[in-house]
Amino acid sequence: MSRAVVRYDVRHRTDFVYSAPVSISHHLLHLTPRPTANQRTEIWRVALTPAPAIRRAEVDFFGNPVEHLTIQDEHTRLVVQARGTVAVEEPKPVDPAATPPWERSRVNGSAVTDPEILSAQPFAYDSPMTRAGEAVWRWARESFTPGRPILEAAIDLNHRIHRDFEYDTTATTVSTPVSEVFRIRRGVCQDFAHLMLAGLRGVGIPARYVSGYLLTYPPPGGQKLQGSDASHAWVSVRVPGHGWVDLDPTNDKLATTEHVTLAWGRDYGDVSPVKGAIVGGGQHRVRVAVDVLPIADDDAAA
Amino acid sequence: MPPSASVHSDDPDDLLVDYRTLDGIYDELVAPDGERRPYWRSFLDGMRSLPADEVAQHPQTALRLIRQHGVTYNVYGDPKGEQRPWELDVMPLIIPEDEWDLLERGLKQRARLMNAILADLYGPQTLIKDGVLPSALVYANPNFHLPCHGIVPPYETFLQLYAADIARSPDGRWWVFNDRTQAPSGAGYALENRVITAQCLSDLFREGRVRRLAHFFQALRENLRALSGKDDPRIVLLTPGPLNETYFEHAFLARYLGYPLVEGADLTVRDNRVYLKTIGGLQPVDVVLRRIDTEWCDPLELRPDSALGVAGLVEAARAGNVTIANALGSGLVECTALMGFLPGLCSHLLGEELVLPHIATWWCGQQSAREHVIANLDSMVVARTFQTPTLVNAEAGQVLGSALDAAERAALIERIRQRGYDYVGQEAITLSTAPAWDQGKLVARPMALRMFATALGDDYAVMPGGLTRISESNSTRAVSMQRGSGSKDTWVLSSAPVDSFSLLRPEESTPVLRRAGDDLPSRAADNMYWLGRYAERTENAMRLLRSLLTRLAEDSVQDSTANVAMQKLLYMLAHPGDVDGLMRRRGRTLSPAQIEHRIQAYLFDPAEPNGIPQLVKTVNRVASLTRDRLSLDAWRTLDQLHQEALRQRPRVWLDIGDASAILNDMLRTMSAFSGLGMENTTRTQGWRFLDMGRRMERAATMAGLLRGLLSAGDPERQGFLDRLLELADSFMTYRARYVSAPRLVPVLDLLLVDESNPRSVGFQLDALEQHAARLPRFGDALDRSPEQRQILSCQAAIRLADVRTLAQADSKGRRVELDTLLARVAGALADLSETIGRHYFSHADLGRHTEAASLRRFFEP
Repeated sequence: MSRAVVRYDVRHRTDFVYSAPVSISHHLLHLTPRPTANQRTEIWRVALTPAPAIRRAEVDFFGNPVEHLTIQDEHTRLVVQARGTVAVEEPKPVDPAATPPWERSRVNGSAVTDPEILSAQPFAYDSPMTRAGEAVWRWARESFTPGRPILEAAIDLNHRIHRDFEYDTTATTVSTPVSEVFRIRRGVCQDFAHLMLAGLRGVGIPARYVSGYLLTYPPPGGQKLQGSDASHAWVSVRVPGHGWVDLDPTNDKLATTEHVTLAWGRDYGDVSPVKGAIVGGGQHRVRVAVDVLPIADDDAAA
Repeated sequence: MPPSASVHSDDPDDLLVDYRTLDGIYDELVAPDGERRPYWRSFLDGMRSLPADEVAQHPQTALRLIRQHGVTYNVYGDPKGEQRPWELDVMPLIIPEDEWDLLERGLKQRARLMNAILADLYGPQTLIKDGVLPSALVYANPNFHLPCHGIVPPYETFLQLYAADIARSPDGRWWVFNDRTQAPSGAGYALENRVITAQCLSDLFREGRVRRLAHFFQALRENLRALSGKDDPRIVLLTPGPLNETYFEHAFLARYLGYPLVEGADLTVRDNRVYLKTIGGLQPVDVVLRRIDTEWCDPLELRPDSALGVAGLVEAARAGNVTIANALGSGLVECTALMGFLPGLCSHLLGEELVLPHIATWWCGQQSAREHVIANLDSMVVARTFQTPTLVNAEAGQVLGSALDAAERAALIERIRQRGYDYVGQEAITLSTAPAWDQGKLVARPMALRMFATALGDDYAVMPGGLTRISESNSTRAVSMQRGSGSKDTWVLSSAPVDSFSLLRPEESTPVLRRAGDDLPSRAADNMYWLGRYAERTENAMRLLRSLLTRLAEDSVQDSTANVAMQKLLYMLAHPGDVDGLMRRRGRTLSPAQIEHRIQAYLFDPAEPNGIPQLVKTVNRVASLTRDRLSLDAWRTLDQLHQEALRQRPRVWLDIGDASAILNDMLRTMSAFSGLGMENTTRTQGWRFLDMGRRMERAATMAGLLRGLLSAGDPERQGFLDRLLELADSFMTYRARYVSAPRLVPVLDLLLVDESNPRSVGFQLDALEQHAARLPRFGDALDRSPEQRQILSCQAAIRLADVRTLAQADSKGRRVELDTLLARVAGALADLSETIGRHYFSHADLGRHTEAASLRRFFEP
């Protein structure tokens, strides 16, 4: 039985406006969707103004498409536009109660050679943005009672974040440490993803950070505004026997066809969509506009 | 610990008469039977043949040399933030040839092994895939940097420099207890120890067949050159800056090896190539010898909050356009937990048995090791797996199991059970002891040795010597420089004659000028320029104060003319450009007591912003930023001045004679510094910027003095002319030319126009003009540069001025023409300073880089 497939026209525009001229800027883009078990990219383009002097595409350590570029013309504004079509298939359903006890997914230090376990190892330990401390580990462990099926425990943790933490776009910045997010109990999707990763890894469960987009709905009776969709972040947990299962702590749910994956890594630092280091520039402002538009279902089943 | 053996000696003059070894501990000098070890004998005999009073002087001599050479280290988090003098014990550690052969072989093998491990982990990772090495030691290790994965350095050599700390156990075997692969420090200190020890013990050193260190550094240099694939590559030494623990060593090595010492802000990446920003434009860099840890090296791909690195460096290395030594990411194998796996890795990767043993190590990521550590906690040192001790602080994050109370112990065991991979247990080691001076006697002190290797061809060359560190206490498990411990020179004996090749002598006193000098980093030029300005400003302030003191002693301050003169001179110190304005605004109201108080403050008060202590401090700070470009003598001179200034405190009574003497001393020191600048510094572009700063400041000060003292009133009657001649050191010249008492017209001529007087404004402009003509040019070489134009226009104004007209006062006693001219000169000088800054210090797109790594959040739900 085939599962539902949704196709999207995705547009992601980032505008940087600098108060003083930038003489040279180096960037790293994770702006092209990677292929996943349930997603494929039909067409994708990334355009830059001004045009970079150097542009090189490669695949990073985790298999994500990445672009290295340098802009050497003096500029006061940079526009990065990504656009393309992706097809997302509904993720394979997993019965949480039927997943193995979480202890079986725990890493231990011994050398492993099983390729599947091995491939999860890079995601098993603290990474720069998920270092938290014992308080977070203890908090996470409450969901991991002995013998509990791993996905059930992970869903519980996912739920607790949604229940106990407040979504607040003003409380944190991109560099707020997880321990601070944990203390003030508020943040945005990136913070919640990092917190969940810190908890899972503290317990010993490999989990990765997923960067992508989320389809949003217009207010009831209203029209969807252009550019109102957004970049999003969630978490993927390794469930032995079932591969990786994506959980979205910001929205208290498992990933669906509404989640479009860009890239995954250990944390935001590995896959931030547009990274940059500039010479000059003074103050800068950034505007991000994302549209995720479902495409009418004419040929999707083909 | 109780003394166990004393030395067999019938001679009461024997140096070792009170020497006691410790029970159960290996002593480097004395065998358990109380006999001196044979390979020490010729050294000890040599010591005995020296006069006792000379031997007693050695520690003082060493201390003096350390001060003079400015050998220091910094301690992070030290509230005083002061540099600490390096501590050296002049009694060397002696290692016999046969023992050294084993150590050398062992170190080479270990370096090759570490290199092979890095090549695998940053490449195919078969060690992980085949289960030879647990992946946690890589993926949980913060020194594994993903962006560096897949970068293959030239010849697959990750480690250009490798160091290991070794210690000798009671059975006499040497054990490795630390590996250093990130950016090993200490080789420069080892060399300094050699230089100083060899001076103290020159005869013994010469006759002792001690292997020389220079070949090691020559190998390092040759190796870096070979890596670049060029005959004459540009190699830079990248330092985090003067606050780093071992900055002295960075500056010392840079000078010794002949590489520019640069900070991240000196470099930029364009077209995936690394460039050095110099006064002559961007110069390509082939090799970066880094003393910055990997994570700080590139704010784009590594730590985004790093202000020490160079954006784009990782990509430049990836493109193969620059060689970084050691390769980025090489700190990965410093981890002590790796030690337990080395025997297996050595046979797996090299097909060899490990030559040098390391201290017993149990990584708690493995269950059996974890249980062993928990069961034997009392005999263990437990450390966090991924914390690396430093040269200065060797004990970061370590705890001794036996030192824990019951609650701490239970908590530690719980942590080890929960996150075993984060902990490593090591056998608590006991160090051997070596003889060290303590209050005129030799005593046995625990010691450890850091050895160094540099890549050469497909093998490594080992420094025949190393950095021996000694500890004050016997309980220390590792030796750290932070707790009042010291260091020693290490003498490796040779049965064959040694040759006395040295890199040091030709390079000690002057920076190596390898190209025309246009590769002077812009930041260094900036610092040199300001060093010149501040040094001159300080000297001028000293002269002014001296003049004030003289006046205070000679004149009755009650005399209102004298009082006004004193006030003018005082204001000159703080606001040379606005003396008359200040006089008008504040009135001529300072009482004699207030004047004395102000002078006192300028002289001694460390809080006075324009006072001597602050000025000297500033000079010292700027000098330390550009220390690698100053001759040793120049540095010592400034340091001496700094010490002198630091000693001064405000007095209850101002003793004029005493204060004058202090000022005279300081002025002499300052003049010595200027003299060294003229006579002992090669005419590099660095020197040029130093001198330009000095000329600029002198011209501005003189113009300010002339304007403040001469543009109104009757300077002849007020005695200003005498003051001016004194301040300008031009009394003798004046006397030689004119019989009369100082008159306005000839004084103006001498101090403003006369280009043969080294204190006149005209002379400074002439010197600046000559400098400007030799600066690198950006535009058409036939045209005059903007700097030259500015100078010429100023020069012309002075040359064309008629001194007699300038000297004429109007009916209100004002000399408007003189005032206008001097105001114009002051303005032109300020403009010129800015032009130089714009062109050479921050020229085209060389602005400081602003980090914007994680530009902003992009996520909304």
